[in-house]
Amino acid sequence: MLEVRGLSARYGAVAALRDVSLEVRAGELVALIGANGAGKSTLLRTIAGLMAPSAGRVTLEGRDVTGQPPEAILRSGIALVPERRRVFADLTVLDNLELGGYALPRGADFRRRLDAGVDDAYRLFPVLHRRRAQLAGTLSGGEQQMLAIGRALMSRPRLLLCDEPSLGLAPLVVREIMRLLAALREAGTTILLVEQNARMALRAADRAYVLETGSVVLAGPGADLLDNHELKAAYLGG
Amino acid sequence: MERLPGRVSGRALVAFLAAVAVVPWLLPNQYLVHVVVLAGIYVILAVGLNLVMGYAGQVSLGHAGFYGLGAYVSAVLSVRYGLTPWLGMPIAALATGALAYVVGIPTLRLKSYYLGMATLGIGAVLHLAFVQLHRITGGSSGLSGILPWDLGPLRFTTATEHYVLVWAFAGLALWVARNLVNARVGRVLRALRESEAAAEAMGVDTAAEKRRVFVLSAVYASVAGSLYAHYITVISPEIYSFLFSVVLVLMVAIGGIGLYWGAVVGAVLLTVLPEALRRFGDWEVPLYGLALIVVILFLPRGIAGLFAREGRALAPARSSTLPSSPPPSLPASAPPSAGQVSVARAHTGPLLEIRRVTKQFGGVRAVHDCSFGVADGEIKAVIGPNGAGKTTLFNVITGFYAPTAGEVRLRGVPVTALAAHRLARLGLSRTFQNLQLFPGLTVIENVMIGCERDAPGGFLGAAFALPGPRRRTRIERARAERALATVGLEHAARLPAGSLAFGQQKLVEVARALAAEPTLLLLDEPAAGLNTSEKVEMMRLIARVRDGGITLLIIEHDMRLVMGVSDRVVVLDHGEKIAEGPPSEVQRDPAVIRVYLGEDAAAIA
Repeated sequence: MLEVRGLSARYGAVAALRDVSLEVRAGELVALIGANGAGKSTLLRTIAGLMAPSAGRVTLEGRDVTGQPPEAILRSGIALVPERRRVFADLTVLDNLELGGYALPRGADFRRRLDAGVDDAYRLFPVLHRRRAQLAGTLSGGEQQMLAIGRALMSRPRLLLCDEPSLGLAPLVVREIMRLLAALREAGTTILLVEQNARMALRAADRAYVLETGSVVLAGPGADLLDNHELKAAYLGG
Repeated sequence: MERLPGRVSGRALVAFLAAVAVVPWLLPNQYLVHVVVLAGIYVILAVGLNLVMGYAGQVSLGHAGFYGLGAYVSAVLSVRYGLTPWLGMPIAALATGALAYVVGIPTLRLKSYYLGMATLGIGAVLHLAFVQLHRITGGSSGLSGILPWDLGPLRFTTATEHYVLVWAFAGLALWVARNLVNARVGRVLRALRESEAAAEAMGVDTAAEKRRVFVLSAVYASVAGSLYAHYITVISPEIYSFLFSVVLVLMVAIGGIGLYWGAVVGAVLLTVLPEALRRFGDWEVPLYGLALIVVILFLPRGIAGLFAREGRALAPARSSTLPSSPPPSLPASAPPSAGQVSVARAHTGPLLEIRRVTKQFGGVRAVHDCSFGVADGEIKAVIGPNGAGKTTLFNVITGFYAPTAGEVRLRGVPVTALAAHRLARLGLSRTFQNLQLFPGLTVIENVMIGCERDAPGGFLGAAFALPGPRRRTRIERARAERALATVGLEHAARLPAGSLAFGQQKLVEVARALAAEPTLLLLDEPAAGLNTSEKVEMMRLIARVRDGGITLLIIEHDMRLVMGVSDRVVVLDHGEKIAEGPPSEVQRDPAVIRVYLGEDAAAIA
């Protein structure tokens, strides 16, 4: 579904991604793990069009989307749940969700589709319905994360890019979010997940890639990587 | 020692002033010399305004008023009392500086545009005063017969003579501005522009810092005003209108906000450009407008932004896991200041005491009747569901919020609702859950701000490049480097902090807090954004920090870290303390399991 070939990106003189290749097949949950500064977030941002790659190609279902502006990439079916959630703090929950549907095709039934999307988000996260009139900035961390995911789903993406959804969340909530991502995958959404909690991510993932200083150094099924000795030493804490 | 990035080179300044010195002899006539005299006056104005706008991040829309006040005070003293401009100018500068100080007291406590609004008003009032107080100012017809500049028996008459005088002052203004920008003052101003909260938390009195630079900027304007009045010898109020304030802001914006040379480029350009466009007759104004639009569209950082290295990546980053080798010794053993010692000796109870603290936001009770203590040398963790009030409690302890009820004591001394920067100076240091770094500053500069709590001030010493402040910068630099090494980020010292990954930025915050050499360190979710092995490093780091004699209070969700490092754990739920005790006990507490840990707690560790 998603194919990344030889992707490189840089911040000024600093190479952040070097010749990264990976693929995500339809219906998979693929995890991306690695140290801080390894380039995981940069990779997601580059796929989503928020950063221009210096080399390489990104294709979605065979269609080249490399270097397209983020709104075009969103319209072609890739939505990003950004690191640290980035909800619109001064807007209500409902407004946040509706803005997520900004990329839906405008037409006679735009409003209906928007409302249907909001209803789906409320079904998925009943707490968002209870908080619909509240300002997003006043939600707890876990609720904000649900809102960020709900907002991303509003554009009906085929591929969801999730950047560290467990960041700063209480243990109970982390498990709830992970269960939810698994449920989304069951329902047919393809997911590329960046996660610091490597053990948890590998358990949930079909396959995983390990990124180190901007390059893919290891790839394989999640279960295999869980047993990998080098990985244990480096990321799983023995 | 290598130079910090973003510093203004002294050699460039000397070269510039040397070039300036020959200009009048290259110009074909006195009219053009007159134009460059004006350019010099505007350079003083724009450089001063840039200190406020570009470095402190505050807009002044009343600088024409300060410029006018400088002109009128020394002009009136000269016309009515025959006072020489050499005395009139400093008197005017004192008056203008005092006015700016008074205006700054209420407005600079607040963020954003309040200074802009207040100065807009002050500018209008001053302009009105120049027109209405016609007995003194000559009203709208202006004031003539102002004494010209002199040097002993020599009366300045030609534009070239004034050129030398004006550019001597401009050179002085540039030199002082450079010294400030290069010294801690510049670093502190750029820091508070990016995060006032973090600057306060590191002991910076942000209101005082902004006020000082605003007063200096008004003094610059006043000096420029006196130079102008005694050069032209006739002044009238229309020069000092709101429109000219806007032109000054434009000079800074077009040249490049916050770039040292930007103000110079902008001032010279906006003086020379109208002259150059004059030959186009009626087209002058539209062409002028077009030129401005082109600059703003294509050069968002201003003309000087084309050449500036500031803000670019300076060295290739090496991203890596944290080094596992034992880092050098902690910078934690510095002698506490005199005040700390006296407080310390008088007290035997807990280091920090939170007594029945309640914090309400409107109808929402974020923290309710919460009490606990933190003993000297202890590592205490605060856990609880998202939204339980943990960060609010941190903000009460560190002086960011005043509690609705209750008391906070540090070594037995009540410190409730003391300003954040004062608490920082008492030895409280903290990190922020949602990162409050100074992203545009380099990593090393970020950490150097951590040293602010020790010896604030030094404004005048810095302005005149005295050896004291320079020595201090070297010491702070070394301290910051040690703190960076402690968290394993010494290789990133010269990178802009904003270019690092989230987890690394968290470590920079820890280093910044350590550079303060605090008594009590408050960490808000230090492990968020770290992977499992990095968390293990963080645990080791926390243990080392404690071994260095620092007491820690930590908010964290990572149970492995909490259970692994803390001596005692406090659990909050809905703003109330529901449990407190050693980790093993808290972990088994049914209430804690129910609201926070969940039944399968072991599964996620």
